[in-house]
Amino acid sequence: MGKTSHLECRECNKHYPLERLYFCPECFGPLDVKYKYDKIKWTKSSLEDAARNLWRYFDLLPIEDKSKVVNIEAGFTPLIKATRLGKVLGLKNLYIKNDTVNPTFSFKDRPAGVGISKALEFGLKAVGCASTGNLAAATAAYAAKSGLRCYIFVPKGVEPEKIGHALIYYPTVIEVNGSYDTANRIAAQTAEAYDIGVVNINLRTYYVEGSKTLGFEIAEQLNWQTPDHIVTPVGSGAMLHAISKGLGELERIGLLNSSKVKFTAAQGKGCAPIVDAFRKGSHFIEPVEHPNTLAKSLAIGEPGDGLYVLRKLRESGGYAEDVSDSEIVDGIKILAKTEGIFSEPAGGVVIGALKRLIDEGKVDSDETVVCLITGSGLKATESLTPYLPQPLSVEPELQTVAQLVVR
Amino acid sequence: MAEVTVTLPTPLAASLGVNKEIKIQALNLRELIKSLGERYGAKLTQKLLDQQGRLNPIINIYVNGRNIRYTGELETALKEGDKVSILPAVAGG
Repeated sequence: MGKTSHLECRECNKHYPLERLYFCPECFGPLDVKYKYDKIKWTKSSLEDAARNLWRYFDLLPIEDKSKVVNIEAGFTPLIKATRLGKVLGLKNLYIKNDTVNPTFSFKDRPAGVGISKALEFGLKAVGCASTGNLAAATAAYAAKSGLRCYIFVPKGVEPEKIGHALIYYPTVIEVNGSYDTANRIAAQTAEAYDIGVVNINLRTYYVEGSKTLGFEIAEQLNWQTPDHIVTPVGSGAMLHAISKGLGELERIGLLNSSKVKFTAAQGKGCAPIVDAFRKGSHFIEPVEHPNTLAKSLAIGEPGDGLYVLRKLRESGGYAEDVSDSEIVDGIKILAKTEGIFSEPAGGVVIGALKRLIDEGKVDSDETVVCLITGSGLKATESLTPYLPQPLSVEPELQTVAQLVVR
Repeated sequence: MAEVTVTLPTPLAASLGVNKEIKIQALNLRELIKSLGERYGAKLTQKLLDQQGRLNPIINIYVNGRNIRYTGELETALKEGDKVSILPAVAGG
């Protein structure tokens, strides 16, 4: 028999078999995949020789038939000790989880890989997604690799680099005249009307499992310890919730002594419904109809996992910070200048949020802090160009260049 | 009274044993949910509303594509021919 046990409703705890369900018909709650944890026999050494991609954690991913796995070598990205950035910020143990180096340059290669593999296992012929840009390329790449038809729904205003990147894999890209949430609604209705596996909607239960590999990797790369604090960009909140679930699973199977970690959710000012609710002490998320932030990949006004992120932040003793466009740009620049990592605006949100935490005395200098940098800056060069200096234009004469060289 | 078309998500329609598309008469969303409850059982109303009688925060309802959280929530008025979609609040990833 398989390694998965059942689906469990996050709200009413009702159990379901592992079918194509994407919410609990009893109460509309999201469903989480549960495994036969007693049968997982991972040890620190047993994973040493495993594949250096997200499928090294196959035993805790919701695909039963290994032949259905679609592998583009995503995951197992570097966890870098950010000594130069840490020095600037006054942190001794700062790490960057660099997910910009995934095959389509964002963390979305993790959940999309699991979602598309599950679509194959379910025998679907067509897949898709609603995307603020990063998931578009990831889904389209996996669809290309697996030979499935692919439909991508994006809102108006997504960075042209992200659209171009998705188009190279030849999906059908549908630009919806409206916000991300409008595109998402149309994608949901399309998924309901046709037999299409929209990874982040009607395959969401399985898809989100891919994101927990970020948590597995961080723990493994810290020699099976959790950091004190994870600062994460938040759009829908699904990634943060998945990382927390993954760490809890490692504790359950005995690979971590404790899965305790403080989470900070970082959003861009102009679309920060989770931060707003956290600050107000509210248990409701007030949606944002017209998001307006440089961090377009986080511009989700109706975050699907918002309520669950609020719970995690409060349970973990964490924080929520929203940062302005200029703080986002400053964050991108300082990360690039100190660590050589070029992030899209979501990463600038994370560094901006971390600076706030430090300024407000919410992080101690010797805490182990992991910042998640989830997408490459090459996906947003057009929106960043106005903030960059111009190149120096010269005649090809050494005398001219000599005046520019610092001696 | 306005006759509107309500579309339910597949797993919900299947669990209720009803068609995904339902024609129903109502003047606003609150009335529509009450009528759905009368027709298909109080359990459906309990799924759609929280204990304070507000829309369940993990559900989105759209009238002609617009989320009712921007149009007056349950007081959103309905007119003849409106299309009402009920979907789980699943967005982003």
